[in-house]
Amino acid sequence: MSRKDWNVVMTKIKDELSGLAKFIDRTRQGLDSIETTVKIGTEKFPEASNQLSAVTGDLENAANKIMNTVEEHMADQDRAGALLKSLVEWSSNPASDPGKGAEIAKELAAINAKGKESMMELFALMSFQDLTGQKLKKVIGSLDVVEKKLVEIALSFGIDEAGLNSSSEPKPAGKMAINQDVIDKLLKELGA
Amino acid sequence: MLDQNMKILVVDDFSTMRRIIKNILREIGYNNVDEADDGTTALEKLRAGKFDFVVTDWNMPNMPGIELLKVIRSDDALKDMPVLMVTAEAAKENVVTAVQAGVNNYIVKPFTAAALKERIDLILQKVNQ
Repeated sequence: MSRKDWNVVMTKIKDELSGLAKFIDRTRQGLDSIETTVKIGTEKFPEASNQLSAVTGDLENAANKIMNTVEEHMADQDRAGALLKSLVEWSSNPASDPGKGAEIAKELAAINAKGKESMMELFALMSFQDLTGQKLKKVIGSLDVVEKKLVEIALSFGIDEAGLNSSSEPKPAGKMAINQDVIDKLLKELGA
Repeated sequence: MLDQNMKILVVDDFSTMRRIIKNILREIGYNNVDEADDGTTALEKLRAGKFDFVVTDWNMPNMPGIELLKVIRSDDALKDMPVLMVTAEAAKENVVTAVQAGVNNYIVKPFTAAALKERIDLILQKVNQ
């Protein structure tokens, strides 16, 4: 091998080694990013999971409280109906029990006042929407942090942003939802 | 002959949904109602008690509604039990799967009391023929 050929080979080896060193450095940086991301992930995912569990619990509690109020209101309505019936019966012969009409009216007024109170309670209970909304925002925030770190890792490994953007587009849903009318027709067609 | 006195089992993993369905059933005249929070518990109850009708959700832990339906249809003692699926699964594939598994009718959530009554009446009309 001539001296000139030897120099060419040495230059090639130097370039290869330089490229390898850069690759190792980039990989090391990527591994550092992975470590950070895993650390952030271990903090953020349980936090997000806890927030989501809390949202589920809050929604269930709110629905139960609202139903308690509605059930109570329905029972009061039944009672009011019975009282009105008594009032009509009494009005056909008030002399039989002169004080009864006033008693019934008093009870009806109390039911009416309680009904108004119940409606206000329902308004207050609707605040669960705000509370769950706040928790969901925290979950979105946690996911954003992890997403940014994942993008950083991908970039450090040489995956370009254009590629990341194209792969992050939402995938079309596999199943198309149909409404109750279509379901009813389908059931009829299928003989159910 | 199934009527307003029939015993109904409501199966849903969400207590609120069970409560909604139970209240609607009571409102439309069905007072003999019990509940279960998944397919496994439902099966135990169905095998232990004398039920006439099942209203079940699709998505539940342990045993989903579609599995419950299949087990009911393959069980000699339960195979003729009317089953109404009440679910958020509104895809055509799900409806077809449920019909193939032997569902009697299918309602998507959210639903009204009138819609539930209409489907129950329809099932009873066919069953009592």
